[in-house]
Amino acid sequence: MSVFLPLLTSGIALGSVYAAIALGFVLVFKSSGILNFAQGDFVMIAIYLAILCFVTLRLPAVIAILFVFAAMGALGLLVHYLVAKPLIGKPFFSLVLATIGVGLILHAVVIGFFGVYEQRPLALFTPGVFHIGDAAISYSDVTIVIITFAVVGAFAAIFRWSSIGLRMRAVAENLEAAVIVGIDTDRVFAITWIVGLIVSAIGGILYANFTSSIDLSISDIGLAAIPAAIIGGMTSIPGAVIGGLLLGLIEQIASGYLGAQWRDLFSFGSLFIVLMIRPQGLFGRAEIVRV
Amino acid sequence: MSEATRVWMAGVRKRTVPALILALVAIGFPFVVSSGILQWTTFPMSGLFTAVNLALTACVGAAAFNLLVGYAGQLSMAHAAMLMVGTMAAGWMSSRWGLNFFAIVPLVGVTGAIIGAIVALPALRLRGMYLLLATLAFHYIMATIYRWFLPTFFGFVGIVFPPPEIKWGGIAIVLDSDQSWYWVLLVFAVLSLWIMARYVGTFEGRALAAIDARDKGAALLGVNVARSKLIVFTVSSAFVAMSGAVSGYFLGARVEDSFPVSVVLDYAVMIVVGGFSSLTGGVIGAFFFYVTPLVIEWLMRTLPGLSSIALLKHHINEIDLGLFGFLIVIILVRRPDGLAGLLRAGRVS
Repeated sequence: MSVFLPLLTSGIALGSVYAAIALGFVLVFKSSGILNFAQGDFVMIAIYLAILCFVTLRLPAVIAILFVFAAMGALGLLVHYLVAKPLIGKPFFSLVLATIGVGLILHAVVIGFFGVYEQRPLALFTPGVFHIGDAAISYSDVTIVIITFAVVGAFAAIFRWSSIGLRMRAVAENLEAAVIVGIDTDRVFAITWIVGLIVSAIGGILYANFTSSIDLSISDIGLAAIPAAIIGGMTSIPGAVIGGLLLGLIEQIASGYLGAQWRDLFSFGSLFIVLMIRPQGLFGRAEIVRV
Repeated sequence: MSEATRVWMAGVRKRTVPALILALVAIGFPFVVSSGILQWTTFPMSGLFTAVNLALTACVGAAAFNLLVGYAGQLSMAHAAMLMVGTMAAGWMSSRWGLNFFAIVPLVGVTGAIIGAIVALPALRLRGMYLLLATLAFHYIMATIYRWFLPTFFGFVGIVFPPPEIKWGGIAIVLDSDQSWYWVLLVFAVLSLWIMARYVGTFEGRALAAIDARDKGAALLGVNVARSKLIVFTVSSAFVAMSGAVSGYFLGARVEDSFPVSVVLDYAVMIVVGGFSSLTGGVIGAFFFYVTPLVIEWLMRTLPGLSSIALLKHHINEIDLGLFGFLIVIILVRRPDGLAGLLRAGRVS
């Protein structure tokens, strides 16, 4: 138990991070059909902004968080109007490759402003561990899980009960029908990008507390979260959360018992198996028409 | 003369003049550069030589990538994975079997073809986004194998490739300089591109265009879709693996983190900027990718207005990256056929 329980909690913590990042990924995909390969770079920008606000400028926590969210929202608007909107109706691989271009630009911006060296850690949560039996569990892991569940719960509530949530679901459900009933789809797409990037930013900031070093390679988390989105089913929001948790558990337990070098084999191996057996994922719909 | 050959010959006649000019440039390039006539431009010539050599190896990979993405419409991210296959196979054949470079490259091609065919079998079932994600998974799985393979069989220094030797009668040339490599790489690139161009001109090649347009329609036209996809995966993988082996030899060594996922993105830059509707696009893209950073650096140094801006000088590396990013987005939004399309448009008008 002294090995398994910490792996379990850190697996759930990492899984929560994946859940938030996969949620941002799925939100954008569901509404615009864009497979966002720049997700990791968006997450990286959010993390670097958070370091700037929290560690370098020492802003009060509320202001710092609001600033990061506002910046990510603005970025979402920019991407929507400059890249995503002009590409509506283009072939699928144009959409994917364009996000690769966006990712390169973001990468260049981060290097330009922050340099290529390792950043100071973003330790926002109480350090230390507590014990259950002989197993040591870190406070920060527990905090990450609690925050993620609060955030996911809040977004689920927005989707379920708010007007914009209803409109977003309508657009994702059936674009033509949504247009016919008078929904301003362009506005919904723009808001989806904003919301998607803010959710990803939350995942990124939590991940910056989970991982030990922060440098440019942190953008790999964007691709690493893709199996979560697929396992859950690309079109399902609860699926993204459950897929994220599963992926985090698989990765932590595999690397805990076998060694970290086999982590990708298990995460992307499960992606491959899901694609072969059940391409729509655990919770997705059988046919994704938009592709 | 078969139909395919006739089509190809007609194409050759139409392109004789540009081809001759290109051949002259290719043959004259090393002499002009090493003669020092262009010294006054202060252009970094030794850097240019390396960049051109890298582009010559990469253009084979990029053109092979374009066979899959551009012609067949199969968006794959298994590119870096096949480079790893080529590197591992070449390292094994060189150190364990003691084979010669010139025997290894075709053998690596065969290895790449076999692995490509094995990968294609499950991948054939998937389309569009699912194929993309499955090949991304293949990339990570192959990267895990590569990171296990290198320290297990080659130690922590990675795979070291000895410089190949050409022995002809009494003369022995060791390929250890950019100049000597240039000719070998040029022959490799021209041969590979020629074979791929022939492949595109055959029935098989044109079947790919039909599959790209609509695979059910292609099946109705009598194209065996599964077979054509299998062949294009095999051919593309073979050339990418060979390009991996050749670049391994050219660079001298490959280490554990030689193939991050960003390598796939580099090739995506090449084919988008060059244009993904033709083999030429891959070639133009590869040269653009490797030569542009040098040109930018040179412009920054020599143009009086730019060289005084300190901000630009500090951010020289990010400028390349950002520029490629901007180009990708602008090209995809405005001109989906890339630089090769621009050339074609110029020729038509």
